[in-house]
Amino acid sequence: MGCCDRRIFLKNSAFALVSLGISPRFLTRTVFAQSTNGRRVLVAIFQRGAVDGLSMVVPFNDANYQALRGSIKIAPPGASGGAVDLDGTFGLHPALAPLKSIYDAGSLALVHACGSPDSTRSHFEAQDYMETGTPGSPVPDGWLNRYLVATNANFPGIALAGSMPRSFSGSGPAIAVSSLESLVVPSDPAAGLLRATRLEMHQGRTDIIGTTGQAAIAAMDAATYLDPANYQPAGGAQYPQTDFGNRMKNIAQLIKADIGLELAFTEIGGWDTHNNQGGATGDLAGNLDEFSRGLAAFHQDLGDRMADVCLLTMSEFGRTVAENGSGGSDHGHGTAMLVLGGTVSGGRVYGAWPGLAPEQLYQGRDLAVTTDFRTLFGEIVEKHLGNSNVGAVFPGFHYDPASALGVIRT
Amino acid sequence: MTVCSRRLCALLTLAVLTGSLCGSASAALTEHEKIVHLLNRAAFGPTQFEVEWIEQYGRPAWLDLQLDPRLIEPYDTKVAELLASYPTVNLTMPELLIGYPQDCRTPECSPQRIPAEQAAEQLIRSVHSYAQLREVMTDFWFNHFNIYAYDGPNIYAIQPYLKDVIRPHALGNFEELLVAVAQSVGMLYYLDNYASSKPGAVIGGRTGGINENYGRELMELHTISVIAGYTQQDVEQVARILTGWTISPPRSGDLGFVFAQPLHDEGAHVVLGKTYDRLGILKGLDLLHDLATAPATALYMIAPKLVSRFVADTPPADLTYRVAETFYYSGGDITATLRTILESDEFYDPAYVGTKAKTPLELAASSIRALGGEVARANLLLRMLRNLNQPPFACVPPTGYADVASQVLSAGVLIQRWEGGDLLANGDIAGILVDVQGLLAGDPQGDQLADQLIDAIIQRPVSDATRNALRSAARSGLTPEQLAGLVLSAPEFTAQ
Repeated sequence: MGCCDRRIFLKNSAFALVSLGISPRFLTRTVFAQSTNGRRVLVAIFQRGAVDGLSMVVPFNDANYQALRGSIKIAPPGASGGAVDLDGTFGLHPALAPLKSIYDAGSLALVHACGSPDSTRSHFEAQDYMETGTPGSPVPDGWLNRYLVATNANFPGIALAGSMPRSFSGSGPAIAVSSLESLVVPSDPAAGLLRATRLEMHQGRTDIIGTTGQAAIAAMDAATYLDPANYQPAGGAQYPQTDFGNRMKNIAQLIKADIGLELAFTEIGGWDTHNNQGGATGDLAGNLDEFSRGLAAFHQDLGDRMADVCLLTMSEFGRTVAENGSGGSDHGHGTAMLVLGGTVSGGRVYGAWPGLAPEQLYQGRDLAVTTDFRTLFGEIVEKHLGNSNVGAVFPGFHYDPASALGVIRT
Repeated sequence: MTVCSRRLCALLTLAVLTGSLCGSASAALTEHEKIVHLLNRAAFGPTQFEVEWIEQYGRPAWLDLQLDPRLIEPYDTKVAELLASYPTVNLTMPELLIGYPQDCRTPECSPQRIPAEQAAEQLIRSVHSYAQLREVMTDFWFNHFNIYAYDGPNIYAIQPYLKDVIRPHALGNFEELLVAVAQSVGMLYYLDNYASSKPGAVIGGRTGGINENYGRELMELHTISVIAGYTQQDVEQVARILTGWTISPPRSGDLGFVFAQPLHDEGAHVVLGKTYDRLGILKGLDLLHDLATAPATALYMIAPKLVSRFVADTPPADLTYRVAETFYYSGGDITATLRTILESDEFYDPAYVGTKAKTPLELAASSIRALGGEVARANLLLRMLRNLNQPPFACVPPTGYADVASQVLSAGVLIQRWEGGDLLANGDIAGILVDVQGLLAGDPQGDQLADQLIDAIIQRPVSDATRNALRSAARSGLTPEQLAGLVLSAPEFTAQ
């Protein structure tokens, strides 16, 4: 579509029509009446495969850590390949060093020993539990979708992912795209006729093929408007040349375009380090390097706009404290999560530290969970996104504002 | 082992209750619609030849041949002819290791050719083989027993994994398939069992120990499922039982399964309440037998997954239960199990027809089949599968690729599917030959052109919106090829 004015795009955008299960009420609502600048944004990043939290945020002083980890341990700060000291107790993996200045500036908080109260060590169950926000008894819809429903959202949540993540499944508006670049159709004299024919074939259908078809046309229009191939990151930000790097760049562009985005999601895999995990260098270090460079570039690119943005990382569980038989680690329990942004009360490691002595370990082998992930997610919903009805987003969970961690500034 | 828990019994009751409540509302399918539906689900979509064959000899005769394809194999000359351009597909492992060394510096001897040619073979067979159901099941079992081909020795092992493990057992016995997978280099490497050993064993100067990865997924994803209720203790015991199941050392000039006694944890191990104490490899075979033949494997894993694949994303409970019975009482006979599904009333229930979305492989193969096409060279089409989010043999998590609509379709992927259809129908994917003109009778224009292409490509009723949109596009002067691309993007062709 040949529109170049933001207001016209927003008014006509089929994005305004995107909804899984379109209702007439939805269609009649006016979209984008006011500027979206200043709107709070949440970016959720799922580290699929269970990241080793003990390697991301290293308890380097802990004698048990040093004793149990063998070839996968990270040395104390100061040593070669040592952790990046945060507070004399914890340090970042050396590959996360690009995040240290954000931590020092007070915009990055770390939450340790965080996770699910459910004991499952199945990736797929645990991912479902975290994405539905209902550990032990998954429901069909995801927590991010319930937020969209609870707030009557009229702009879709956007997942930069190959398929719709469970977090966004449900009746609220959400779409999934691999990249913004992949939505731009080649210019062709027949392009307008092809678009109109496809829209007509999919309109009026309420099944998943019909609604996804309508969303696809909307996404195509939006991508044409955004022209992602010519996007220039600000502040000299250098995104990794990987799928994850590109997706972080796409999310930054969507936020800066002020088209109404409130929730974004993406994911990064490769954390299931059963074998040859490595320490300061190696497989895990390589993944953490890509991860941290992506986050740091996003932070740099958004600049002042970061004031309204909160970025939350999560993973289904952590990994065994002890190294396994093949230079790796097996499925564990508690892990570490990162919270980054302008509303974050950062420069601190949050969460009660359960310790790594044998009697302190969960089921005798794993880092215990002292912070239910819903306590952290709930605080972000309440204080960052400003929705006090946390119970609607995490049904069955009693969220108590008084016992929140204080990760988000009030 | 006792896998029939209280939860199982509750589920059985539920299955019977909910199944009996289901009924169909719409009119029954015509014989032609049944044939097209059978080819959409038990094959990679209808071709003119297959439709006419079934019209002449009947659906039961077609199904009999599909379930025992030995009689049709000699007629797969097109497959043999096309595969002749792919030198790696029939080599032995030592031949692959010598002919395609890791330090090769030219495209001709690059080991990357091995997975690429396997993907080409899968595509060629999916489009051209008369043994269609075996290819459908090869795709199904590969995803059930997913491995990632682009890491370590699996760049080599992907070829025997398909040629010797998955395809020959695709219509065979589940336990034999499970054992073949457990003893394949592909799975041993992918889920790390090759590196699991009894605690204290010394391997290459390092003190080893167990690695739980395969032990856990063997139960969770391959057999009894998490619903069966095993514990962390059970996972560790399974891992111990399978210590010593590993890969031959690299210097042997071969890559294959070996049982390494020094790495094996001898002695008794208890899994789900049953003690396993036979010597060496027998302990693992006993365990695999029990897992393969457990009621939980039938009811929680195989039956719902197969019914979801062939009938509806949310498997109807009553059919699922009957399929689980067949699987269980036949001792894991895959053919008998498929017959229960494909001969059921539910299979042709209008409530389920056209409700599934084609996977990327199904979309690509069915598009080429519908256009009377040929896979002369597969490389560019494989790039399209990458854009559709399911590049062959490159799924990293052990779940394999999803085949349910909510996971297969997304806004971004749908655009790529439409674009791929445009390229295909216009002959713009080099190596894929299509014949849109061959679908037409006479020189139809406008509405007739749209109607003929709908009949030839989709072969079943379409909505008024679809027909009107395509007729209107035809009247706007699109070429038959451009219009065929639009037909491939119709909701009724996305659906299965």
